[in-house]
Amino acid sequence: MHGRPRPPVGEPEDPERRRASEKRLSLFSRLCNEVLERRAAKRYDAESMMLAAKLLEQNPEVYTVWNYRREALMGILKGEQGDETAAHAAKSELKLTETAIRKNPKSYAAWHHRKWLVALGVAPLKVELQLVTKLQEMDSRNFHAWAYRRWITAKAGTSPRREAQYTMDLINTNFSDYSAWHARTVLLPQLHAVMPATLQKPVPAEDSPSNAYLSQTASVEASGVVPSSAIEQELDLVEQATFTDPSDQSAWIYHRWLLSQSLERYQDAQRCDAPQQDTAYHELQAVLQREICRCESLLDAEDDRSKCKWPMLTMARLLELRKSLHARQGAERQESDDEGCKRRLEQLYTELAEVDPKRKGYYDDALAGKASVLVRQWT
Amino acid sequence: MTRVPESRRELLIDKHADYIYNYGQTKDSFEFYATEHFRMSGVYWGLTAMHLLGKQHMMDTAAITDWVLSCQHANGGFGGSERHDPHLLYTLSAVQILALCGALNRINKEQVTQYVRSLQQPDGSFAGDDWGEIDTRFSYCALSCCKLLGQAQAIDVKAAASYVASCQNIDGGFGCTPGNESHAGQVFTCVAALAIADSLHLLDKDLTSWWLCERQTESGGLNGRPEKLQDVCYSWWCLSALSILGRLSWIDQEALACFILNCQDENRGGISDRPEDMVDVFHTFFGIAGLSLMGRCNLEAIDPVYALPETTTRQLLGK
Repeated sequence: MHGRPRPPVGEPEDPERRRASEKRLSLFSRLCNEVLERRAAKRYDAESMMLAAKLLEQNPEVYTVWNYRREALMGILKGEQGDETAAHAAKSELKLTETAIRKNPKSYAAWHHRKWLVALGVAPLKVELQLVTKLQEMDSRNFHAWAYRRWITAKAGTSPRREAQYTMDLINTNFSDYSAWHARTVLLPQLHAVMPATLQKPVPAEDSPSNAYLSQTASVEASGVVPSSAIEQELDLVEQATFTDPSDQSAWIYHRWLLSQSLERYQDAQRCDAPQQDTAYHELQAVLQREICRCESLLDAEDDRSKCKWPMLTMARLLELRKSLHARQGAERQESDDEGCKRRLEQLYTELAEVDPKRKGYYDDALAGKASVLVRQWT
Repeated sequence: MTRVPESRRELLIDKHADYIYNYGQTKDSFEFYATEHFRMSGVYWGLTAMHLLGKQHMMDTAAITDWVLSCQHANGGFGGSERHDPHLLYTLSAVQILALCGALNRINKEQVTQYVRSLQQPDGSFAGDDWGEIDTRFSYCALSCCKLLGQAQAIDVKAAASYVASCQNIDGGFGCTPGNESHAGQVFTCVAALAIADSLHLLDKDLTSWWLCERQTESGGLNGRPEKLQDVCYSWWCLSALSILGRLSWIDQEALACFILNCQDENRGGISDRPEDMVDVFHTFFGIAGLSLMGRCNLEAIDPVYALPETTTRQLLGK
């Protein structure tokens, strides 16, 4: 059982507790039997529905009983018994799913039932967005809530800019909110992409006065890759987070993605003419140089090596990337530069295996060039 | 490293076998009713664990087979138990149990695959049942089920694989649908699905494996997502994926084995999510399966893709 402590061994069971648990069992088993018998008999009357709701409030994961309710409600919600009955049924069903989700926020079945209701058009999207925001305040890492939020915002045509701001607020409250960082990796390419499908989407009322979303996205490059100015802003954000807590992996995993975006921009430019290629090369060079300096200053500021895992690992990857960029560009290099880089990588990975011995196998492979988490993208 | 009490340094094989055996016998508990809707998976976890422990002879396979067959519906799908609706999750569990019992000849294989096929969507994804929930877990269920039944051609394997690949995130992990956050459980289903579809080239192996090895915490146990607590069940989800990708050496196996052994209930048998928590059959299976993947405690070997003993998959698939 997730997170439930083991009962002590050998202690005689408290008779009162035993009676209480017997009563609980008898009530619950009776309710289960009653509901499933009514289901088998296809009874869709009000009393049966009330019992089904009672069961789901206690155990939201019983998918068959949600199926039962859908069978009973489908026609009603579509207005077969008049608008008033439909509205009433929708209201109480929304209330039931909210109760069930609050009882078990990780219940796949309860979230799915909510989506079913929304898909039928009985729930205003604005209210849904408010509800899920409230639920995310209780647990900002709940991936069911995030999935629901993505679904609702896509349906409502909420602008990626607005959602990106939401993730920004979460990150500013808590730099370790990995879910929010992840959401940015999905939102930023959307925000900067100009794809016909995005432009054809109806512009939601909230954005129409200035047409902000349309006008801003229409001016950026025709690519899903995040523009370099945005990457730079994001790198600054990561710098803030990693200076606050250099051992928090959320921002560092995001950082790896930003580097891969810079790399992708450079690779895209290889298809263009020489001046553009040149600009892209210098752009990537500059990013690498600055990030190497940032890691260096983090490492300088911390004497305790056990707290330096992430800046060390990132440093190693930056050096590998720079080395391979130079090799690719045929840049003039002294043999001593390569030797120095090799020694530094050896030193970094050896030290990493010491401060983070659980992943020694990975660091060994990385040093041997058998694990490439960033540079592999060249090919 | 976490200190392991002396009594827990070994896998308490007999105690776990008794615990699992009794789990199947106790019908008057609150848990029995509360878990009724996924009993098919419970039986699969228990039976597979018994095979890994070499204690399958304690189980009444004839009775289990009859019970599984009693949960099949007219459309070919299986429910979580007799009184529950058909669903892909339990259809796979049912097929796995029947494979373990050597009873796949008792079902009409075409009928079952027809059910699975009916749930595939135009984009290659799978719904869990007729009510349309989409999730990469169901892609795995569909692929594994059809392959075990020797009917992979019944579904569009290529489309299934490309949908799964579309759920890969920038951290190398996978989510339940495109754009959703990576989760180790989902990583197992997606990596194994791609393995079945012979499409592992669609993923970035090093990146995925690196994200997975970062799941190991100070305790030696593995978590399911960054900044979360370790839990024995990820000894299966993360480890099976690392094993499929050939990167088991990227974590500290000794520390993980200690963590799992430390989660045993040495008095009543069974394994829990974390030390001193209440045990259940789900964590008991995943703990034992994790130890088996690491080749520890003289357990039967488990197939990381199909989550069945290797002897079973070798017989069925000749691998």
